[in-house]
Amino acid sequence: MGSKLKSDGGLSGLDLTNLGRYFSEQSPHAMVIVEGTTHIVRGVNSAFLRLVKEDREKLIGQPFTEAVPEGEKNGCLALLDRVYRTGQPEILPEQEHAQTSPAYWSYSMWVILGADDRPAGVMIQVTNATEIATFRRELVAMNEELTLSSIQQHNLAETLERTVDELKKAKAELEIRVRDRTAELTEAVEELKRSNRDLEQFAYVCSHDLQEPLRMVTSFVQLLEDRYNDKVDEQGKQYINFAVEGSKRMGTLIHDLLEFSRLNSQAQPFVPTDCEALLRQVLHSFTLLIKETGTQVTHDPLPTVLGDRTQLAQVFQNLIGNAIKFQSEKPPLVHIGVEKRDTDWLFHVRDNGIGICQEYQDRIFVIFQRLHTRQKYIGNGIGLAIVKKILERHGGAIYFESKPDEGSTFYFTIPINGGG
Amino acid sequence: MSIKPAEILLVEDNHADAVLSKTCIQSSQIPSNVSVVEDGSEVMAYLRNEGAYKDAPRPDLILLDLNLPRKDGREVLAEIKADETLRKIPVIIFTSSHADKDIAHAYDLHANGYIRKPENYPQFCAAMEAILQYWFALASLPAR
Repeated sequence: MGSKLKSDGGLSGLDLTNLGRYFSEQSPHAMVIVEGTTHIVRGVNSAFLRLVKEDREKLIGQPFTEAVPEGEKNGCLALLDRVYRTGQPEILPEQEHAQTSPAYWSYSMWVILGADDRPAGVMIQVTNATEIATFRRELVAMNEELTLSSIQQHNLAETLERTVDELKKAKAELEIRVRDRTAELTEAVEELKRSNRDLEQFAYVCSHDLQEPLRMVTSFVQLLEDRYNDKVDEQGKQYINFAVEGSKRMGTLIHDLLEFSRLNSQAQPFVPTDCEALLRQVLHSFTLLIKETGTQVTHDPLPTVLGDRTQLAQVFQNLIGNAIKFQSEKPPLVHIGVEKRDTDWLFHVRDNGIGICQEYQDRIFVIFQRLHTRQKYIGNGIGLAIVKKILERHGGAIYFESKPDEGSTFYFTIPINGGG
Repeated sequence: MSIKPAEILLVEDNHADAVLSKTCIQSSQIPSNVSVVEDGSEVMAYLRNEGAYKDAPRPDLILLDLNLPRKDGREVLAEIKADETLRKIPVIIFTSSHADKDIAHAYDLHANGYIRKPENYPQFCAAMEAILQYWFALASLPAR
């Protein structure tokens, strides 16, 4: 067989052209046979011609790189030489061939023996590696992406950790600030309570201690009036009178101030209090005034509420007293009414007196705030301040509705279940 | 009614109040002699006719202020009521104190009355008149 092959000429006496056709023409894989060291193409099959889009005649006898220019750079030639030299088959996998389709080739190479069993050439078989190359590329890309995303994840985790740390720090700082602020507030509240107590104590001591010297002034001015009135002229009498009146007024002021400052210290626990009985008692104390002024007093049936009996009596006393006091030319009418609501009793004391401008809504409940001259209506402007303070202690409120010359209605609330 | 004027001891450190009380007592319908002691620590000497008070008359009624210098009215009251020969003399606390505990304490110490000093002259005189009327016209006192 060796001699037969040799008879067809060529470098090693092998008719490579026909041999190639003989073995490989029908292979679906592209195949090409090259000479040992020269890399001259000696045989190709149809599949290879289709792959490189060339005619057989153009390729035979030409260097392999003529048909496959990429062979020079992708290491194919060097591998050919090695196969030829060592006799060991080699594979060059997944080489890119941008100009052809498929674009990825895998080269399988093995040596072809001549008649003397010595290497005569190399068979190169090209298989389509596009699928696996694409797959590998995608895999690499995916891997890169994964690496990237894992880096990102790592960064993210670090950022998260930092953020959590910062949040923890911020929370701790906030807690400290809240604690400090709460402590400050508690202290401020305590301070306020203390200063309120001090103020009450101050008002009490003041008004109590003022009473003594005032009693002296009042008594001796009156003694002067009693003993020496006939020894001074008219102007002297007027001066004495001013002094007497002034000291009397100061006396009531101090008395009221004392009463106001004692509101808290003399507070009693809340008990069920029959307002009907309370009202009877209050109206009884006004008997003379009611008769003198001809005031007609009417009232709804009043409930029993939870409260400080003495203080609630004072609320009725002051409001009814005002209603009788601030009357107009009309026959005076006073009505005390009540309405049960969801959570509280809404009481009202209505009169048909001189009325109050709505703009005094806030001022009227302030201590020593008077709306009228002393000549017209007596009083110190403390009654409503006391009422307001008492109602606040009971968890209630007070307000009024009024039209000048038509009368006023004072509303106040007391919680049904006892506030305070 | 006793023909002899009533002997009244006024224990009062406030001179103005002493004058006021004296003026009112003297304008009363009840005839009386008023002695004034301004120092709490001298009251017992007065009552026991000691030292400068050798000739002091035994009072029929004592008007005692609570807040006195050196020895305060409560101590004076306690000493009077602890003394067998003096405790029959009615002692009326006459003070400006409103405090409930002062009132209770005074009666605990056997005060015979507790009157708050009124805030003006007419009331002051009215109070004094009422005291004198009660003790010297209405009530019977032990013999001196």
